[in-house]
Amino acid sequence: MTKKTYRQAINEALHHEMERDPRVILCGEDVAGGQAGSAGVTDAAGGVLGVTKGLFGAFGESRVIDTPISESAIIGMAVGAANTGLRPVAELMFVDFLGVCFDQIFNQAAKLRYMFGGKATTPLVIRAMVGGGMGAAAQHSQMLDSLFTHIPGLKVVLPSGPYDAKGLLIQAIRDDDPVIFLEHKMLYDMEEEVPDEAYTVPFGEANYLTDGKDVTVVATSRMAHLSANVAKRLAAEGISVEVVDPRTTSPLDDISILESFEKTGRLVVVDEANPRCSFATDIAALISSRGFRHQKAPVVMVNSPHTPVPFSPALEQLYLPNEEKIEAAIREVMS
Amino acid sequence: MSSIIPIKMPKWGLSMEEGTITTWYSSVGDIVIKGEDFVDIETSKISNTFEASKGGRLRRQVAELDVVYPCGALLAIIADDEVSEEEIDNFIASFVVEEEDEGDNGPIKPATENITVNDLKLRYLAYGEGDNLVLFLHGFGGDLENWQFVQPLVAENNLTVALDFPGHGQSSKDVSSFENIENMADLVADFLVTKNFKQAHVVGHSMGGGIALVLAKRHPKLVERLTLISPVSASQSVNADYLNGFIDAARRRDLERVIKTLFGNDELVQRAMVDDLLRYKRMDGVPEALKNFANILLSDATGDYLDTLGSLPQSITVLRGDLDKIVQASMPNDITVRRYEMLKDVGHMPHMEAVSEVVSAILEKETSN
Repeated sequence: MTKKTYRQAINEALHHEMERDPRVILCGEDVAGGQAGSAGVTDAAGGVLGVTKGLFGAFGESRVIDTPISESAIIGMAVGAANTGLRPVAELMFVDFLGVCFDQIFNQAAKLRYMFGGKATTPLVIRAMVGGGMGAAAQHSQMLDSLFTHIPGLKVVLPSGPYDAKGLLIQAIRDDDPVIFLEHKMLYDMEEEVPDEAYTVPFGEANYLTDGKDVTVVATSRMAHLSANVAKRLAAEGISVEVVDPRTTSPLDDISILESFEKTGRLVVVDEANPRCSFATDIAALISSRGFRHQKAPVVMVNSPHTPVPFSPALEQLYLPNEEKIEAAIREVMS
Repeated sequence: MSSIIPIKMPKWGLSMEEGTITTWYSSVGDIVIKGEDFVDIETSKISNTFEASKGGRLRRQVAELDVVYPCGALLAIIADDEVSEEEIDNFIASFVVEEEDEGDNGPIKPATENITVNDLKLRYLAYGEGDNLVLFLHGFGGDLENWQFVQPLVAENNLTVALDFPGHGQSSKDVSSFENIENMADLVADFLVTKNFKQAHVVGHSMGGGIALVLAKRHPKLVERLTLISPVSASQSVNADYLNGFIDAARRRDLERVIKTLFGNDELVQRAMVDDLLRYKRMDGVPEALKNFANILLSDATGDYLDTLGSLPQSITVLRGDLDKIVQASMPNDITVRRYEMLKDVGHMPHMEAVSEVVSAILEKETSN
């Protein structure tokens, strides 16, 4: 099997689904990569980080639609297109910009199936980049998965690697509900074996990066890898850590998390977001309400502080969770 | 002659990178006999017993229990009594784990290849040298990696080829052109002809065993000999609940339950084995392919074909496990079986559960008859 990057895996998923289903369209800022213009460009990037490269050439201007710089127009158009029978994939660059489309997302896309008694569906995927580490400053670095996880009617996906990215995106496009698909910008160059064929990864099924019996670490997106690195190091010391990546925060595979905790009795949640009302607190609450009788130590959360993401690279590194902080947390629950 | 024999972490299958010893069967000072149980090794996919590849006195256990070592790492030293402790110390100190791609002197890492037969992409794994070809055919839902313990041992003295059936492993997933078991056997024949193989000793497991029988009937010149492992060999012999359970299981927990019924000792199944099968089952086209093959296996036509196979000219060995919950069948009446063995405490997967018995059955010399 060939190794592919996270970026290629997402591109392949889009390619497969556009080929398979003529109702699938793309829209977003610069998704055509300059090919739609009159300058004669033929191989420009395709999206700000090159994820949609080549799709305009393959599927043309009626299905790969460059939009004005207006996020609310992109999402408004995509929600309407989804309601009238297409299956749009809207690219919104940075998740930080979704704020200007909250009405379309929270009140329209997420609610329509419910408010029409199941007679309307919104098969829409919104792709956006999340996370810090690139020095992109406070308005382009947030980890906002918790905001969307909070809204009933949205599905929220956080692929942590190329294999999952391709399968989860194909699943998202085939899903009849609105899906918020959050790509971590620091993972685009990560490589992994990815089949050439189309395949799906279902929502609500956690993945295990390591097996262990002493500590359960729940971590998503980029944090899952940092946690797995720590787990591999600690294995040499005889500390056995099970890293569980839920892959989707909504729906959440609470059963797998509880099953792992039943065995270990110790939980560390690693979440790149700041902690108030977050994914980390949600998992901590899950354990204290439904796993209490197995609990051997207080839950430890590894988060960013409750401040905006700093622009200074030195401060940003201090701000983000890292392997040292994860290791310290694991040692704390073991002590 | 004094010599030091290093025992190294084996590489089972295409994807194993590391393993952990969970049991030593000998203590330092014991005489180790070639082919006997040496250590139990747990990988992320499966646990298995590793047999000594050489005999001699066990002088040193280099690896520790429950520690993860890469493939090729030094596990133990077997050496004659004349070898001094100092020589062994020096050997261990200078031991280097060989890189897989070391070139001419390093171990050859077998790689799979693809071939197009009747417009279908077929993946296969070929290695070893010899005048005789041993062809491995996996069972329903399996792939060529099912032979990961057996194929390397057979390949020491034979050319071996393990095939992915269409709809399986990394072969083409569109199997709509397959309507009956004869089609499947004919495809194997076409594969052998395309590859220019004159004749093969065909080793078939379960569905692959049934296909091997049909192949031997329809293309007798291509089949020199049959070794059938838990074969589908008669009507009404396949556990339909297993086939349907395997097809329907969409989640890890469900599939794990189904997979465990394959083995006599279900603790052999590790999480990565289930994950790999889920990845396979989630590829586009696979659910349809599996349904198609299940229908063929359970059909009256297949049962009738096997029941009325008539006699076969080839020498046939059959191995089954006494704890097999998937296929229990007698052999068709008219077929003469040279050797029929029921393995104790083994389930449906003797080639993973009783490796040495399967290997010796394959390598057993033909007695003149």
